[in-house]
Amino acid sequence: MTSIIQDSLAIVAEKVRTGQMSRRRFMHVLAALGAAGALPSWREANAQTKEIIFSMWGGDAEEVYRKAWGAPYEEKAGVAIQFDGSGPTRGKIRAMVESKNVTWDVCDSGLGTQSSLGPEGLLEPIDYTIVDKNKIVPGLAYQWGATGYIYSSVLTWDSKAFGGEEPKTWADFWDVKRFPGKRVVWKYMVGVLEAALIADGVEPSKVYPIDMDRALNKIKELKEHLVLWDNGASSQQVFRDGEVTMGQIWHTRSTMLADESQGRFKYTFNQGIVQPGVWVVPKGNPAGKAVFEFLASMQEPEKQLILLKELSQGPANPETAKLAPQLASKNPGSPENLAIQVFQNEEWYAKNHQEAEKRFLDVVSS
Amino acid sequence: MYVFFVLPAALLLFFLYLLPLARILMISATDGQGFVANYGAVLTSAPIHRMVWTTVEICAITTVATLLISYLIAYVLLQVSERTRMWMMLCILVPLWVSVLVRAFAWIAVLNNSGPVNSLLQYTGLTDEPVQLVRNQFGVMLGMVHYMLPFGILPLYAAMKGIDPKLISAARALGARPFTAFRRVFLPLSLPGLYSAFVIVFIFSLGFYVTPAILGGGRIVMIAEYIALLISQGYDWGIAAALATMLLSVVLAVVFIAGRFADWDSVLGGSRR
Repeated sequence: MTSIIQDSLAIVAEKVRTGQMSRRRFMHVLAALGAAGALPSWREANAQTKEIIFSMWGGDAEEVYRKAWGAPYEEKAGVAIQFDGSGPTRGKIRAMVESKNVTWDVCDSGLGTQSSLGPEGLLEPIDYTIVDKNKIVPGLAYQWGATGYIYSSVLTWDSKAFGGEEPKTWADFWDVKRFPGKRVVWKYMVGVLEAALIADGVEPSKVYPIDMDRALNKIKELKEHLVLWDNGASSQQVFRDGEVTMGQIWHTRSTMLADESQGRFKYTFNQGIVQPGVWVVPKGNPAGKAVFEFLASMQEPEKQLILLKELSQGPANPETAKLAPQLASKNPGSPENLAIQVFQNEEWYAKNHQEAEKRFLDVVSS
Repeated sequence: MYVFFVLPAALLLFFLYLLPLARILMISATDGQGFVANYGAVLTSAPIHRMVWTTVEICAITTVATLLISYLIAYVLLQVSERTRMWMMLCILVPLWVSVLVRAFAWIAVLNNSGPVNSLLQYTGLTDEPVQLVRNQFGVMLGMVHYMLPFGILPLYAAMKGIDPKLISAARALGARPFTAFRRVFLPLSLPGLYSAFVIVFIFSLGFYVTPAILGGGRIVMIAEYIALLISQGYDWGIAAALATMLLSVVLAVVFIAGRFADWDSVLGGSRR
């Protein structure tokens, strides 16, 4: 399972590499980030902490992370931020905590991880006296995970494929007669069950609790037309290669597809499945409480604005969008976009995520 | 005294391989609900049965196809001139050095619906619609056979080279027709090589992971990938370890049963004679 934020930073790095964004501008932006509003009290608070280990998903993102969050914080707080790009899968976090050999302080993660590992006692509760709840959209400050950004799994299509007709809903996604061709969805299920139910006639607001049998039966109908993507880059590649005509992919990748193809590939937030990107702290992390000050440093609107500008990533801090109202249409978290989407339900995922993922995999692979 | 030369390797194997392996056995017996529940889940779970069946089916077809093609190629290798053999060997060995990921993506590039093969098929009018060649079971098997061919060809060639050509001549001199000489003399003599090729190819196929994941479009899940998912997604380590242990038992059984008939000496470069 790759994380959206790793993917987003890979996007930025790719933009720099392919010349869509100048390296100078990129560096300038990141440097500005570092200078933005760090609290002087951090240095004192962190006097004993020498380093914080940030576990993420590697690749080009690692270097970018270091520049964006690591270096500025090192400078302000005098704490070294080390990155481990080997990927904080749920399994690895569990192994670390259970063997009492925790080396990570913060993991780049998703709602599924906080909801499944948190109640099992494998994560530290987020200290909201340090991390600011007011800098997170109401409802997204979870007990074991602080939301840093939001993203959405959206309907994306190749406008050349259907002779001018445009799919707008998940019902269209399931309609292989009007919209022929393969569809690509995420191998790790999040978003697909919701789409299946909406396609089957369930009101978007009544998707949760998910009726698994109904959703899986609907997915069986489409099974022969499905290809599964497992990382962001591959979700884009299948469109470019013409392997699929439609897909449910992260909107950050949809935006890139639309931009690079001069509008050939299109997407809509309509009926998109919005998900929070959360930072979790493994139980017994080496830096202890000091990690929460690092998390707080990543909440600043100026930093999140960059993510929104360059990646269309939805800022978790409501203040951020006010800095750039013109970007509202690209922001999955803007009020008008949120109104037409479904928000991933924490309660349901906490109870059912793992079992549902297994059943989904069984259905699509059998 | 020679024991000191193998000691480092033995220690390495012991600490980095056998000990962790023992730990897997432990986990399969202790994690989750315990031994009975873990192995019981593997034996009774319908999804796992389906994946085991998919794996067995793909491995069986892959192995048969690989052995057939390998046998032909090895036989031809034996007949051609030294120079031609060198070129053929090069063509057999070079793909071995190409990463399995690169090969899988190369197949996608060549065989996808808008790729060159499908374009050609439609251009020549053989088909009206693109033929689905990858992102399905056929694609997986194609990729696997391609990967396994050198592992089939080399042991077979080694075994065939050890067959005395005078025996065929003798059979012919005694009145056997060419095919009879092949069937009654050459084929039985090449069987040990066939067994070793079978063991290698079949066992390798059981553990395939990357190729099915890519060429299967994510929808062909074989045991190895399922174990990886169970571990990395953190669902159920006990069941994953139980499944891994059973897979290992199957591999060992194949090695011991089929391996008894195999000609390991010639595969490993030595000779019986």
